[in-house]
Formats: sequence, C-alpha cells, structure tokens
Amino acid sequence: MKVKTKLNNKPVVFDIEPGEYLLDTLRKHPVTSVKRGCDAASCGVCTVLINNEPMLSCSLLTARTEGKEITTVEGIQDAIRTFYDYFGDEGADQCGFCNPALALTVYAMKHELTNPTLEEVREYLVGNLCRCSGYEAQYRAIYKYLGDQS
Amino acid sequence: MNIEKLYRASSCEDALKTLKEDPKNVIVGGGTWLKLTGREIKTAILLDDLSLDTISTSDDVITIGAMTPLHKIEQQDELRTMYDGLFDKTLKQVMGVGLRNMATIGGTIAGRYGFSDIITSLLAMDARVVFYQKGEMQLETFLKTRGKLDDLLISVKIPRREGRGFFKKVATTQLDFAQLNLAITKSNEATYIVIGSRPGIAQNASKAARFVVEQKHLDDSVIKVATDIALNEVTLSSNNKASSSYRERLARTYIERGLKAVFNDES
Repeated sequence: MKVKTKLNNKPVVFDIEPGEYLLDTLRKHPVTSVKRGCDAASCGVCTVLINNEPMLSCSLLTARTEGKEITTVEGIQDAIRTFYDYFGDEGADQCGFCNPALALTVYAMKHELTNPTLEEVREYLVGNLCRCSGYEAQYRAIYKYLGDQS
Repeated sequence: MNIEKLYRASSCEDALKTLKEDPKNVIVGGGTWLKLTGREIKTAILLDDLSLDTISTSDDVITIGAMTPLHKIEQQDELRTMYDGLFDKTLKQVMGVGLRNMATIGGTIAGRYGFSDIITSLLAMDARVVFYQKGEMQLETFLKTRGKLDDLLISVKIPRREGRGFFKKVATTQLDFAQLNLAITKSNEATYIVIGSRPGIAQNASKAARFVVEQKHLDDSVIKVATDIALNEVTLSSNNKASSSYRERLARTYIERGLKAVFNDES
C-alpha cells in the first residue's frame, strides 16, 4: 500500500506492507540516524517527530503517518548545531547511538516547555535511555542550552 | 505479529461492523502494545479519522475522547491540578513522552491491563466510560467484564470535583511496570482507596473507604483497621515483579501514607 507523507519537509510516498512499522520504513529509505534499540517501545532510540511531537517509530505503523510530517535528525541540523556544542563542552557525548533521538526529544521539549526546571527536563527525557553516560553530563548540557536559548 | 490488512474506519458504526466481521480483526488505539502481543491480525482497524481525540468540559464532567494521547491529557489544566495533581502524577510515570504521545486513554482502558497505573487513578476519580453500543457505565463495571471487547469505547468521563488525592507507583525502575500502585482520593462526594498492579487489575477497596469516612478522627489505630479491611477485600498475588507478601508490605505502607496525606494534610 502507498502512504503519502512528508519526510524532513520533502513530500515522499512510501510503498509499505500493511503491518510495517515506521522504523523499518525509514531505515529502508534509508534514514539510518533512526536507530533500533529495544524494538519494544521502551528505550527511545527510535524517536522521530510526527508533526513536531516525539514518537517511537518502532511502534508506530507507517500507515498512520499518512498526511503527516516526519522529522528525523537530518531535518533539524541547523537547530541542533549549537546544542551539540553544549554536549561537547560538558563531555556528554560518548558512543553517540542515542544522540539523534535525544536531540529530537530536546528539540520538541524546547518548543513545548517554557523555562523548564531541571526536574521537568529530567522528566521529559525519561524515555530516552543512554547506556554510556550516566545522564548527568547530558542533563547539565541540555539545561545550560535551554537556559541560554530562552 | 502479522497484519493482513489495515482499514481506516469512516465512522464508529463502520469500525464496530468491521470488528465483528472476523474474530481476528482488532481495533488499534495508540498501537503501542500491538507489536508485543505477537498476535495474527486479519484487519487492523484504525480510528484516526473519527475525531475521538478531544477533551471537553461541561458543568460537572470532563470528557476525554478515547483516542486522546496520554501526553495531551497532561496538558489539560484542570486535570493537571485536580485531586492534588493525582492524574498528572500518574500519567507522567507512564514511560516517556514519546510513548505518551502515542498511547491513548481508550487503548489503556479497553485493554483492561492489570499493570495499568491509569486505571487505578481513574477508578479513584469515579470515572465512567462511554461505549458506542452499550452506552455509559461505571469504569468499575466495565473492568469486571471478561473476553474480547465487542464494543467501541468512545470516551471517558471524569466528574469535576474538588478534593485531595494521593498516588503512588512502586517499580524497580521508572520504565518498568508497577509492583503495586495505589490511588486515594477524598472529596465531598466520595472517598476511594484503589489498589492496582496486584498484579490483577485495579480494584476498589470500597469497604475500607467506607470505614474511613465513618470515623471522626483518623489516627494510627483507624488506619491500621482500614488497611486490614482493604487487604481483606482486595487480593494481592505473586508474579515475577513481586511476591504477595512484598505487595502487602507496600500496600500497608502506602495506604497509611496516602490516608494521612489526604485526610490530615500531611502530603
């Protein structure tokens, strides 16, 4: 079946199986910044934005993106360039596997929350797991980034 | 999991008619649980075009469309603060924002999941559910039904009440299912003590709540009796998350803290 959608602001038509999930569709496309982690809606590394809201592509049927806008990290390069400088300054970057999903979630959070507290930041990012960092450097980087951007 | 066909329903009647055409047809809510069931599906019925994702308020009730994502509910001002923020605290402990942008309130209820934190809080808020064919009923009544759901959940209704509330989820990590969850509310209209993830589906400890309301003062001895009554009427069992004896310890601890929080203003 055909699904008409927008991927990173460009119209695209996916030819999919009825039970196909967006993670598989995107990686076939190939958008390989979208990672496969737990594949069970828990780890968050497959996060993409659907109409600017973070969602888990491993558990979203591609057919449900008909007429919607899908954004991956490739689509927000300008917006996140500064953000990654903060990650570098805090030494928050390690293997990088979770970074694209985390960047997308931070991007969505920045647009949704006004002057969030550190607690609200932690709360918003709870679904984005990182197996390397222990999170503290990431939270410091994100909190400083949000503070400087407000 | 295999899905033979996807069908975008054009109306509630259309969705229900398609559901009844084959036992292997299913209605998809948020779809977050679908993949993990591993079931063979003939037709997956999507409700995305039925405008069931709105929240509206009347004089006495907040109505949440069944397809409303959990994260959207968190953004509704009144629900965020009602009963000391009971529902907001509950929703925010369901995985991360990514999942809560997909998971719907209707999917959570229709699944009658024993691990659900949301059902526990909804029971404590005296919620009612509205089905396309069967009409409106108490959530508690629906939860007692068994077998495949042969109706379409349209909305959830939460009475607008002022009162105190307490919610606790105990889990090994924030992303894990609860070993036990508990919601207690007190308003002028009613008092509820609800225990969930027992691991069976959440249940009202209605005798315990009635006992508490009948007391003039809430002291340690009253709390002890109320807890005994609650644990007598609500069965706690064992599974791979926790043993029944551990669940009982948790229940005793948090019923006490919850009652003190909502009755003695020690939140």
